[in-house]
Amino acid sequence: MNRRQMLKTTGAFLVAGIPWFHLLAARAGETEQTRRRKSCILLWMPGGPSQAHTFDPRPGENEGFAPAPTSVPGIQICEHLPKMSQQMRHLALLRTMETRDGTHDSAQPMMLTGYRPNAGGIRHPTLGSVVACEFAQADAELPNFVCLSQAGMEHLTPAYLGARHAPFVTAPGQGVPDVNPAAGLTLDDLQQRTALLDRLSRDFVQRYPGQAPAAHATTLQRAERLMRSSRLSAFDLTREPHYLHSAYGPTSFGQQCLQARRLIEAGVPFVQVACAPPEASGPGRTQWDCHTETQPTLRNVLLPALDRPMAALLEDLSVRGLLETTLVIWMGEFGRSRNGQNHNPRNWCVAVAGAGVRGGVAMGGATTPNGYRPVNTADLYATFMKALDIDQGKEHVLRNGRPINIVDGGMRANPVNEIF
Amino acid sequence: MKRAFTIFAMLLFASLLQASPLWSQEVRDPVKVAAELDRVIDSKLREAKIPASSLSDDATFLRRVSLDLSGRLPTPAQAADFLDSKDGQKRQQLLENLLKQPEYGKRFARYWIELLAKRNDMQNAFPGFFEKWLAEEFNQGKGWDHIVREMVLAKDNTPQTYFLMTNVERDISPSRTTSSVGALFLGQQLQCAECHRHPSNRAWKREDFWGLAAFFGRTKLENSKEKGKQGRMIVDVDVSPLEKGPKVDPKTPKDKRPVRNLLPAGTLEIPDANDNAIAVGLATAKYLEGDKAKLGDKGSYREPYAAWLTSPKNPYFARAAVNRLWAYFFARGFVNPLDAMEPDNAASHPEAIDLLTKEFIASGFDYRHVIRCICSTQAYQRSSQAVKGNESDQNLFSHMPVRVVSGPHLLELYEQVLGKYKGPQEKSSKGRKGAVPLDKQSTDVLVDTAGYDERPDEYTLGITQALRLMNRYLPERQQAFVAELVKSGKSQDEIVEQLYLKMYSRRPTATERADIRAFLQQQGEPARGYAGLVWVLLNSPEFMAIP
Repeated sequence: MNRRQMLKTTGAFLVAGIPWFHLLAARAGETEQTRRRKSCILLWMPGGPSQAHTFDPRPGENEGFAPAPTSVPGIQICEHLPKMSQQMRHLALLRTMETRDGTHDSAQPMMLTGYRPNAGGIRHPTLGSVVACEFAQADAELPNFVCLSQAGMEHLTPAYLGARHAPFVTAPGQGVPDVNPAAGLTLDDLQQRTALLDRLSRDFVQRYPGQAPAAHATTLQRAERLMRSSRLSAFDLTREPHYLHSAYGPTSFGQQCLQARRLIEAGVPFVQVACAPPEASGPGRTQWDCHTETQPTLRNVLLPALDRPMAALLEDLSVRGLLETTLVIWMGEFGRSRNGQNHNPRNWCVAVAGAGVRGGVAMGGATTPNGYRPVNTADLYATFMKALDIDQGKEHVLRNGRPINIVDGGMRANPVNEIF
Repeated sequence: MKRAFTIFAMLLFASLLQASPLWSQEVRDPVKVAAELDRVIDSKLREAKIPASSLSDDATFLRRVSLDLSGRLPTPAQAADFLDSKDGQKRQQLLENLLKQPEYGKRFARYWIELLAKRNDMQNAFPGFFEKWLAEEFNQGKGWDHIVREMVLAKDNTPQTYFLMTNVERDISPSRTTSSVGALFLGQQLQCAECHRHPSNRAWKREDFWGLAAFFGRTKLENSKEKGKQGRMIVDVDVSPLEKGPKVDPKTPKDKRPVRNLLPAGTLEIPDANDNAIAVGLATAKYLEGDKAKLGDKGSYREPYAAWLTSPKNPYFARAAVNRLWAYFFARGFVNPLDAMEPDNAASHPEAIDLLTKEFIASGFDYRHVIRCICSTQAYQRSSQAVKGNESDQNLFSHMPVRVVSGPHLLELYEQVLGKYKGPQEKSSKGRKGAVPLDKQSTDVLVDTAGYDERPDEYTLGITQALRLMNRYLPERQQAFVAELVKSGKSQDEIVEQLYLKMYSRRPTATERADIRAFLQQQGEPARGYAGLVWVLLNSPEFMAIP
């Protein structure tokens, strides 16, 4: 027996979690009894947010961006995040990120996959696809990976995990793309068509018993089932009460966060949203990448855009008991120089909450006396996997027999254990 | 002068190879080669006591070979002619006709673009001109050795630079190029040796990988300096890269940093596997399992590399190409995976791959010759319906696999049937590179499958893609086609037969006709009925499968 024959796919799903009864009671008819496994919301901050102006400020450093006390004694964040400062008890701040890459084009795919681009000569799947693949259920009606923003889309590849783990891309309140019958057709028309399709293709599917014809037939059936599913209401934001709409706010990021919570509640394992207010862009600056007009853009546009929706999301998840099982990640592709103007992949900050993460902690940083070791990309991904109950040592075996670790370096990566 | 001499020496070397008796065997009759291949395959089946399925019917063969060699569905008239012809040689004639058409080159160009596009994750290049160029090379019958040399030696911004451009990180990446050459042209996962000793071929060490990469150490991407020319060009410079030097604190001012020297000619540093900024050794340009290259201070390093790569004496080059071609038709090669032709991974039919490799070299690396040999085999012409006793056979070629038309190819087929879509244009992209409109992305999702040598018999689409096809893509695109159908004034039977010939290259059975008649009656209005029927036929597994 050689090496190749010894390699085996480890395909077992990790489905762990706790029952979900209190929610079932509240939303009878919309959900069915289901075991609660972990889920994840990625709040993507394209362009690279300044740690000094968000979650790791230093007194006297940037005028008009003073550190302000939070609901957790001893931890200070920027004064322009007043609502987030009230959510500090949920949040763990990783302030010693050290990721070595300060170029958007390569740092974005790196932070979204956990691997430096093309490491080992292959493309790597994005975090959402990895989680979707781990938690995918064959009979799930809703998609496993929903992306509510275009920002960073070009890096969201499922790579070797296959197209079925690609993100469903839509916008808040817009529902599942293409889920309604084409203009002029009803669901009944469609049913008549699929009945004919079924009759005409039955012979073909039976004659050629390979995987492909049957898989296509099944996929069409599942698509049709989704079109009729009551679970589509998970995409309907008009069902959310007025007070929640106002808590999250009317902005794109606010609506995305509200949509994300609704999807997570309905059982979608991974939702990606992005805070990228168009008003932040101008000459020399796009999204969080403000090389010019740095301080006014942060103060007037970016920080207000971030504060209210993110705080509302954490509060809402927490009230519903969903934060216990939902990992919320706040991250960009790198941090910035202390004045916020330039790219800097050293000593920058990622914030995480939920899914067993102990809130109210800050690892290292400008105002914490106890330092902390540098946390690299693989360590960060190992931390995500730990929170999601996914074995960081798991391997996927590629078609050519090559094993690829789900986290770069496998068990050698060091999760930030102190936040659990 | 030195450079001219090198080229002269290489030409001399090449002409000696041509004349050498070892490689100058005559090109044989493909039908005879096919018979030999069949003997090898059949004797393996007999040994394993596995029966072979019978030959496929004409309709299945017609659709299969047309899609494989031209990427196109036969027209209804061509299909009817072929089905009705009583000529005993008609399959062989069809094969020859298909290889003569320009669509042949286009199909194989697109096959290669699908492979390369997956590696183009940084989206540095667009394949439009490359497709045209490669199709023309195939159509003119240029040898595969010549084609690969053109790609590896590409300069300026010619169409053939596409291959190297898919290996750009910030500049042409020597390590990435070496991995791509290994996987695509040599059937080897050389990149395993990028960071450590190769796990299946212990003889290959990091020095071997980086020794190959060193040939690309002086190949650079530069902004065009010529007036009127825009964009980036590939050039060979006469200067070696700078050494990485000791690690410096980024806060050190520029004038306080240590001076870094140029590397010696023909070398490249081996980076630490965990930190690209640290060098752990120095590799000298060296052919795989061969000698160190004699490289001067000046001139292209790529030329001797390309000559070594595509030489008939390279034990991997021709064999990998033949294995890949076989897999193109059978969904698996003699050696699998296609990029793992390693010592511990034996071929399923060693005599067959040896024979085809010999033929390929003897024919001057002619794709068409190998294709003729493969498509003339009984094995290729078999049905994909299993018979008792061979249901579970997956590697002895007792029956053909049912393959799935690839994503990009499927979109082509829809266009062939329905005509070019003249609907509203998709919105143009705005802002940063890669900010593609939603519309385009969802089509891309259909196109961008596993990204890693997925098998052609594997179905990779999910519900997202199904919804898009069912509810948007097909309904939009079939409108004009259905309107024509209704206007045509043909009888219902005639229309149904034409649709079957057009999409499936066969005539409908009596049961199918009856089912369709009932459906059309139920739908009432002909426009409504035919819209439903066309939708059903295009969404059926039979349309996207190649049995």
